[in-house]
Amino acid sequence: MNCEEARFKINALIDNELSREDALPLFQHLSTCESCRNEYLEQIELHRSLKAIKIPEPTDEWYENFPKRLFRKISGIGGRIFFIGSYILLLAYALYQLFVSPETEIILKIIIGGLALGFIILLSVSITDRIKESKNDNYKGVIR
Amino acid sequence: MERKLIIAAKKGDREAFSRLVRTYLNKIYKTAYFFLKNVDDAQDVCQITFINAYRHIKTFNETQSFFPYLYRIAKNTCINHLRKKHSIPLPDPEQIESDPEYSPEQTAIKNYTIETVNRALARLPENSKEILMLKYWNDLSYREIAEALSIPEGTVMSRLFYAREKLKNTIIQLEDSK
Repeated sequence: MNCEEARFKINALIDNELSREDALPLFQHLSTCESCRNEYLEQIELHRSLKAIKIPEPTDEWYENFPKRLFRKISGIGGRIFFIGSYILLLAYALYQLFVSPETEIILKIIIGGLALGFIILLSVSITDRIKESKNDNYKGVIR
Repeated sequence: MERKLIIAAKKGDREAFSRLVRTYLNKIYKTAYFFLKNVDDAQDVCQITFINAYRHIKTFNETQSFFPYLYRIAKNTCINHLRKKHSIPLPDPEQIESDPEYSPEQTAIKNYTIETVNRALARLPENSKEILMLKYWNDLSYREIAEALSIPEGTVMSRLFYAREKLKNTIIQLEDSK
């Protein structure tokens, strides 16, 4: 085993990912090569330092209550979907009835038609903006 | 065991899904914190990640590991979060602490090293930081990292090797410049 190969395998050894067959020649090399032995000791030190890095953790209570909060949120989303969906259907039905009814005054039909048209225009502008924004996305190159 | 939980969760068993959540919550939190560098944002991302996982669990293939699936959702959620904020978080070495379990003698060496290691880590390319995060914060094996990043195990090994080499060289540069 040469030094280059040994240095590559030292990492796997430290990570406990080296097979027995690969470990034996590495140990033999380390017993005779001082430079690789030093590299091994340096890598152990680096490994310990990286292991010792801690990030700020949420409280135990947050971990404990997370699943409950999650399902409350999921139920809330379900409720919202039903509510908004039904509301839109009701609105569409009411508009339809309003337009087909011969009793509705023409001026009212024009005003409500204008409101509906305005809403559709605003919605399409918003969708177009989102599409343009996604085309100029700074994170486009990020591998997902 | 995990497979049974996934099958049960696919049938709508909330308790089974809760157990999966408890198993992976800490790892997902660490992943989100790595990308966002903010506790509150990371907590929000955890919630969005598990909601999305729950919504799409019926299409998940239970013969595969669950963590890579969650990892990809969490990473995408973090990217969307950053996109909304229009900013990339700067590394925050102040918030990262040393492990209190070390003996005082060891801590003296480590505090010095950890500060330098942190500064050096902040200077690494994103893919090097990401693979070190998966290895050290999430304590994943090469196989698990390979699944999470959709790359071969050999590539994990070489990326980790080069990430550590870069880190070591950066530490040396930082110490020389003192």
